[in-house]
Amino acid sequence: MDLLKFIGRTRQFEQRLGESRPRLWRLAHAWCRNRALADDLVQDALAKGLRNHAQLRDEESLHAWLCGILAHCWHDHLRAHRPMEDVTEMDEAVLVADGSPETEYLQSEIVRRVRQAVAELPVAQREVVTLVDLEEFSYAEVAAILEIPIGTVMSRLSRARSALKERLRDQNACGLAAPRIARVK
Amino acid sequence: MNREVSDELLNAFADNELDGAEKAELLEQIAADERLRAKVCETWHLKELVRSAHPLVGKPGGRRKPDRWRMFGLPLAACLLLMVGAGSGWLAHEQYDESWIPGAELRTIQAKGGRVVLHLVSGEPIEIDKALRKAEQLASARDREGGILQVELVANGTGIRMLQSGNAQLAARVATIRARHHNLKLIACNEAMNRMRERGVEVTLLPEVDVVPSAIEEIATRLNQGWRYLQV
Repeated sequence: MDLLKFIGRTRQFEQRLGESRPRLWRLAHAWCRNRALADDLVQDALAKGLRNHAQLRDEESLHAWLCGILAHCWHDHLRAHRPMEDVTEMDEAVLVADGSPETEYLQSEIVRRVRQAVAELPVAQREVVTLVDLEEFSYAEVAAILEIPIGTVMSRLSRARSALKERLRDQNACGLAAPRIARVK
Repeated sequence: MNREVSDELLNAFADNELDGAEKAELLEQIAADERLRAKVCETWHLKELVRSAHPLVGKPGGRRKPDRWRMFGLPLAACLLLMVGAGSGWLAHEQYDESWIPGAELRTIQAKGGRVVLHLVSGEPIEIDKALRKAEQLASARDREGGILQVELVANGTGIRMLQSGNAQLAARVATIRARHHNLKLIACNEAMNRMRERGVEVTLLPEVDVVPSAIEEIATRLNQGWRYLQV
């Protein structure tokens, strides 16, 4: 009976791991900008998650826990290799066309520029901004995932957003030009 | 009391990281300072750009179209709200994450005329669900004299999705709620619909829905009339 329960719990855990996969992949890809590497990082993180299931204290925080493992895998990779900046791989920016060609072009161009701007951030800033904006983690959760103080999360986020605003405003194509949003004195 | 507002603090505000007292204090400053309002709007817009540029794909390697309304409409709507709010002093509202209105808030509404405008700017299914739950809760409540409350649920930005035909399940739910509560008005923003149409999105509303020229104007009018404002 206990064995059946154990198997049931393990299957349930595996299923939940699988549910986190797309979000982990998006995060990994935003960090490394390389599909094959993102696949490897996520695979590695999920395998470690499965192996270390017993270390998860709160089932509710499974995704944050997995993001922490993913961050470790990513940092291990960075230590072992030079950072990969394969920012040429932007094929997802080619969108499904359902509007006018001009609109479609503008949309895909904006997506490309935003991704490019994120990809060009220093790694530490890129991690924080993606954890906050893509995964919608609180600052405290980001601090726990990256094992850094909350103050560092805030300062990295601030620098990341300033840099992104600067880059995207310069390109004047992403609606970040002041007149679109508000009149600035 | 005015203090220097750092970018970190403005980010914390935009990310909903501040507690009630901190948020209220900062809101006062933001309301009084156009430069701060512009910065917050820009941050909201940036957040949506980042999110929309990295859509969740079903499986690695899949393709999905970024949500263009999320990219443009929602942050813009939020910014407009910030501007209007700054002018009319109604910004010091709480944003509730739960799909249930806390008792204290409900008591305040009941004590202050029993009229409330509920505002939805997001088209995310979870936010739509919250909006409908809260609207039902409010429409079912009574004021201090035992009278029913007057409730308006105003949608703009991607929140218009809640009031569009096309999703049979959602349409049935909206129709049921509307039939059950005659004191609940469902309102769509014409400006938001026009923006959707400009982008090639066909917009057909459910029959139970009223249309106002601008959600912002509607909310501002209601606030001037003493209604309580809640954002979903």
